[in-house]
Amino acid sequence: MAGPDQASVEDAIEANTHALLAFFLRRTEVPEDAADLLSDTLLVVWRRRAAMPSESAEARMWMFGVARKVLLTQKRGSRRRSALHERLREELAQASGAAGEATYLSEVCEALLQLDRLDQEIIRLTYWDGFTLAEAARLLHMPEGTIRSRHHRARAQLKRILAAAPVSMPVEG
Amino acid sequence: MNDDELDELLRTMAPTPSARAQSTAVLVAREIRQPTRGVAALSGPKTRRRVVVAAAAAAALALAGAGTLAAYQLSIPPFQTLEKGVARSHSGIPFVYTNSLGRRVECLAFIEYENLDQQQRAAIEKLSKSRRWDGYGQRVLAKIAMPKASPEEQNAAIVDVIHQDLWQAAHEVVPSMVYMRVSDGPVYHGSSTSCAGPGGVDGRP
Repeated sequence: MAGPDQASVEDAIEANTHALLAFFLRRTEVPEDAADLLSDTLLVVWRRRAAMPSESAEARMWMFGVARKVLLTQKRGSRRRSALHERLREELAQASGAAGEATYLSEVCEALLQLDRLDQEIIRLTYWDGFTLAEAARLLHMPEGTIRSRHHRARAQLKRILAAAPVSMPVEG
Repeated sequence: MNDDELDELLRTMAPTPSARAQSTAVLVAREIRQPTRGVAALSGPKTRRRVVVAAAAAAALALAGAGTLAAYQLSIPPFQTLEKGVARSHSGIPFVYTNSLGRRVECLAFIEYENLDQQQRAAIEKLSKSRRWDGYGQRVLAKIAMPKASPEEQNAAIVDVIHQDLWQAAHEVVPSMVYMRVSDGPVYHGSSTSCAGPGGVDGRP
């Protein structure tokens, strides 16, 4: 398989870098770790670029598949660091302490953490990362029907949890 | 709370990186792919099997599985070398250790730097000749105290220690050097290692 050309890979990475960083930020206890995971993912994407689908939506799915594997095989330390990489780590650390909606955010996150791990991931993938249920099923390697029913159950459970500890919606503007 | 309100709440409460972090992430992504002049420094001696490993790849390599590990490492393209303006020492600092499988792993560690003058570069190159590196690999192995860890985990932990030791050594010979910051003066930009064992970087058969 020839795989996409360099420009296509660069375009796919450029189009998904923000989303990948957010993906990791939403799944790490230490925000700075998102920088390491992003770098690791991009290295794998480049190394395996011959396998990247040429169609952009499929390329996105493929990159998030890589991201999930990197997340699941995360190891302590062992990174080639660069000044830019360190800067990203610092910026992630700073931002985590200064979120304007931190209270609302933490209430929702705490509610989410009360769900089964798979259900948490389904909610994150669909509400936060913008995947459809069918795409979430592909990423999780599970039947779509299973994901659909678990999604339904997870929403109902979240509703109960949040109703017990009401969360005020942030006012826009 | 009705279903629509719940959906809205969940969507709006997604933790999101700051605009600044997002901008920097794009720069990091470009840095990772940028082919530069580091290639020549990595072509190295041809007499021994040589696998270049930027340490950032460690977690990624776990994806490959032991059987294809060497193939992954050997396929590392130029983008994984050096960013523009960054140079790597030509003289590798040797370290050898015996991993948890009882296999000998031979490695070289390189210092990556920016903005060094000729005299400072010479001082960095001279470091590799120091006797301080005699038996260094085994000392680091003892320091990480992970005798039962997998070869990959041992290698990853060793690389972390070496990264810090190289910084200290470089700082001793170039006192004006700063640690991994954006600066117009001398910068310790990072480190990389190159290891060879019976089956590759971690010495697996």
